[in-house]
Amino acid sequence: MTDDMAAIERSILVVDDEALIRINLAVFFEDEGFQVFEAGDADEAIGILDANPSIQVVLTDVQMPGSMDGVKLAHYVRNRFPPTLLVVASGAVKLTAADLPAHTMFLAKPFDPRFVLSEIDRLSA
Amino acid sequence: MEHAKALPAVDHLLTWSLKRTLPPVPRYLAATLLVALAAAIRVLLITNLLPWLIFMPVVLLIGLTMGKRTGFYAVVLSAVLAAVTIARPGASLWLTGPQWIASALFIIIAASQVIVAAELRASFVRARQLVAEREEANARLVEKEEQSQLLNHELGHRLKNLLTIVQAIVSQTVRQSPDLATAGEALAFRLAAFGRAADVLTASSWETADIHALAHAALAPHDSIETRFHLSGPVIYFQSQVALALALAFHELATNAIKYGALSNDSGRVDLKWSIEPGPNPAEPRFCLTWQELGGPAVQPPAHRGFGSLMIERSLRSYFRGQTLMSFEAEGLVFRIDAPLAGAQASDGA
Repeated sequence: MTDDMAAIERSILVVDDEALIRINLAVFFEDEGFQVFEAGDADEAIGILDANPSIQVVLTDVQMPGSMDGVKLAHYVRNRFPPTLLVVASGAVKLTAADLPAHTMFLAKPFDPRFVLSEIDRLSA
Repeated sequence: MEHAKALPAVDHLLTWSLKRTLPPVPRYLAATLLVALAAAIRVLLITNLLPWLIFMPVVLLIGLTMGKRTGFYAVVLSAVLAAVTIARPGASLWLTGPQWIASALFIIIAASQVIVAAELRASFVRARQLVAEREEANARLVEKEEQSQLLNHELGHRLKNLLTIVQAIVSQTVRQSPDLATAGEALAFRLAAFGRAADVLTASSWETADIHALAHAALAPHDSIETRFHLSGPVIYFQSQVALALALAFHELATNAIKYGALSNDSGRVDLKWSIEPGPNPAEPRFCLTWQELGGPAVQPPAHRGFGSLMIERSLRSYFRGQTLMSFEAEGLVFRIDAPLAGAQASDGA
């Protein structure tokens, strides 16, 4: 298949402490040909990013246990890995561009993962 | 409530005196001084004609600011001092007849005045108390309102989270089902189990759930729960996230047991045991759970692992931060959890 090369290179890190939600997103992106990494909190996410700096997309929840929430994680990722596509999702707070690093998409939970995929396609085209 | 207009001077005087309530000795001393001052003014400036008049405002002032008893004391003292200032040492009865009568009248009128003044003071105290109580009640009301707004916000967050979990369950169910009818049926059962687990959590304000209550809620629709399930283990309270995942896991295991496992015939049974075991580090006990099916038909590992085993193993591993193992042994399916207790137990351990 001609798009195999592109598909293999796509990778996403899904960060959510609610495993049922995270696994569902992971399975969705695996089905779409992504290499998927999963983290249950920001510290775990940073460890994975350090080990796999080629990860292109980080999709994170906001409310998580640990030293950093999803918003802090997003700022950290934007500073440390500037080209990363960032998607921040929350069911509790409505975030605006002022709260988030540049070029970050905010989604209210629950959201449609297909929409995230289409945005990833559009922004990485 | 409408406020009657108060005389600012009286209001201020009463407020002032209530802020400076004196203990008995200085209070009586102050009253004595005031009355003595009035007596001095009376001797120096006022004729003998009506010696009691100057004491009236002083008695009123003392009644208002120091209360009834001090007021009565001031009345008696005033009568005595007034009498002393007009007495003629030579006279046989010290005062004349009309002077005695006038003294008695002074005591009656001044005492009435003290009673009214002291009542006014007491009413003022009651009014201040009522105002203070009302302010306190208002403050409590505002606090309650803030709490209920916080709670409302928290409920909204919880609802969104639950909807997102339900979305995940629906997606995975549809993904793993051969057709829509199968998906619909599986989904109905899963959401019903989810709902019963939510009932268990609601009973604890969505904080914790005991594993016994969770197991019973998850297995409730199976008539055979008393005869074919054997549950044993200590009371352990889990956090809400873990509790929901565990209830879903019990539901999936039971559903599979009925379809393919030990509960698909008339004689098989399920042993569900859990315990707290000392780990390699004594300070970190472990939670060990075994779901063992016995007496069922010959076990065949499924060719295709559906929602159940995928979600059970992956989600429980993550929520418990431990190991899960599903093995299709000859005598029946065995599912185990071995995880640090601290990762999943409710923090208050209630």
